[in-house]
Amino acid sequence: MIDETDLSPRDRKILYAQAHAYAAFAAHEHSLCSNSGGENKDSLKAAILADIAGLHQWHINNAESPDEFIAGFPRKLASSLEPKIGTGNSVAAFLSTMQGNIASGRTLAILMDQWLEKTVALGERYFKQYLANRKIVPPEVGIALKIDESLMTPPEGQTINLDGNPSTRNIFVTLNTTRFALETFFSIPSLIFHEYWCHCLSDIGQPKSGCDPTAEFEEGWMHYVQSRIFDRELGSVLPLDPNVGVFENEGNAYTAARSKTSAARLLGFRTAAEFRRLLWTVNADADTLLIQLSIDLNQAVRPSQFKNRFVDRIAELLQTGTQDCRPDPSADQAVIAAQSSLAKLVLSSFQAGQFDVDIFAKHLKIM
Amino acid sequence: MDESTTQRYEVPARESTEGIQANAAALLLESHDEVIDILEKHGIPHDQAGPIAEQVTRQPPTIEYEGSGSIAAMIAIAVSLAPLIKVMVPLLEPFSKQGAKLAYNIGMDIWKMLRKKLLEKNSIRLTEKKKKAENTRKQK
Repeated sequence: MIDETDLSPRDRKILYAQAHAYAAFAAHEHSLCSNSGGENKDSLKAAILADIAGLHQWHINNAESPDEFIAGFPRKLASSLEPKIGTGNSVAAFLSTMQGNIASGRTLAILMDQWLEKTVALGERYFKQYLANRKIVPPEVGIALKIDESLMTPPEGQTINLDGNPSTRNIFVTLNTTRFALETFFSIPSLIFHEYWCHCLSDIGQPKSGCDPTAEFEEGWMHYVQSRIFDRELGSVLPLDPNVGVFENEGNAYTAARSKTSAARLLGFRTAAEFRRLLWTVNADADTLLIQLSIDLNQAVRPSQFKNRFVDRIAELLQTGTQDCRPDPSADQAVIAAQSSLAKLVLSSFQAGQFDVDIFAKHLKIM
Repeated sequence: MDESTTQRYEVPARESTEGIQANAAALLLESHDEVIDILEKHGIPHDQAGPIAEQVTRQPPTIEYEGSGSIAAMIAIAVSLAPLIKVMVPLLEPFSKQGAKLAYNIGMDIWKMLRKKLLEKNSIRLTEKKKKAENTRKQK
């Protein structure tokens, strides 16, 4: 069960009501925003979303329970939206969807619990497929919601041990009630996915007290790898969700933005992307090879500097981000030769279906 | 304000120091049983804890405005537990040679309980004060 103890009743009212509104809005966006003849769809969309996002500025009665407040929210939102979009059929359908979601009791916290549960189930399936030969147990993973009113719009995540137990991981998702926008809501599954694949599965069985935000491997390389897994497994994380396309778009936008928040992250992200292209030249199933190598390296109990050195060394051999626009045949030849030798090193580091971190490190002259 | 008994926080600018102080005072007054539990946890016998709690619950923390927060939407406040701790010191002397230290530890536990109640009952979140980002731009 998700830990919501950091949420006040006011936070619950705002976040849960907004989450219901965004989910219903996404399901009816087309009909809602083409409701009035000739009006600019973008401005109409912006006006509706501004009303939902501005909920924190409404007068919120402390005496009313979160359930009462949320049950009455569709009616209040409808009267606030009426001057902009009227009361036509599309508005009625939008409100009816929101009321249905509210009645189902699927609050933001419950949704987050479900997203984590599906992500962990997927991770355990990958564990069996990629780490079957290693005698390691996947961590027990928990999730907690936190509020920080100084945060910008994107949600933030952090992964540490649960109650100090090294065989566990606890994902903290931090939101800002005054900046909880549509894109914030729809990027939460992507954030949970990142925290799970990049940080819950790293240094398994060891103490975890967060991650350096500029870690090239965990925050850059693994961020790219988890984005590949997210793309191909989204249906497993969000089965039967009518807004799966919106989750995918917002998740990808969040992933792309997050990869650019530091030069080190970007280097890790781009190096993994280029490395995948290199793997295509030697193996038809480059994704499987990349995932195998990355999961093996991520789970290995090694200092983060050691893992970051992998990224540095591979970036050096691939010349990530250093080639300028003018073709230089002699330099290109050297790069091609280095890449070819790197591809061979990768293949020779695979032993009995798993990637040998130490052999690869020796080949790359890291050890 | 006595620094050793002062905690610094940030709160949303919509809150007022007077409002937080009034809410904290009201919550402390209705927390007689919880204060007894805290006193017992620190080794005060049950029959003595009641009278001490009676006095302690009438000494709410004082809250002062300390300027702008790390962002415009937040303000900085200082919470002083001095009144609450001061009243406890002579009352705890019969139970400990280090009455002041014991009063301090009990005061901190009472404040922890109050802070949780402020969040749960009044939706007032007190966030540990953040350091403002340093201006790293070099001067030419």
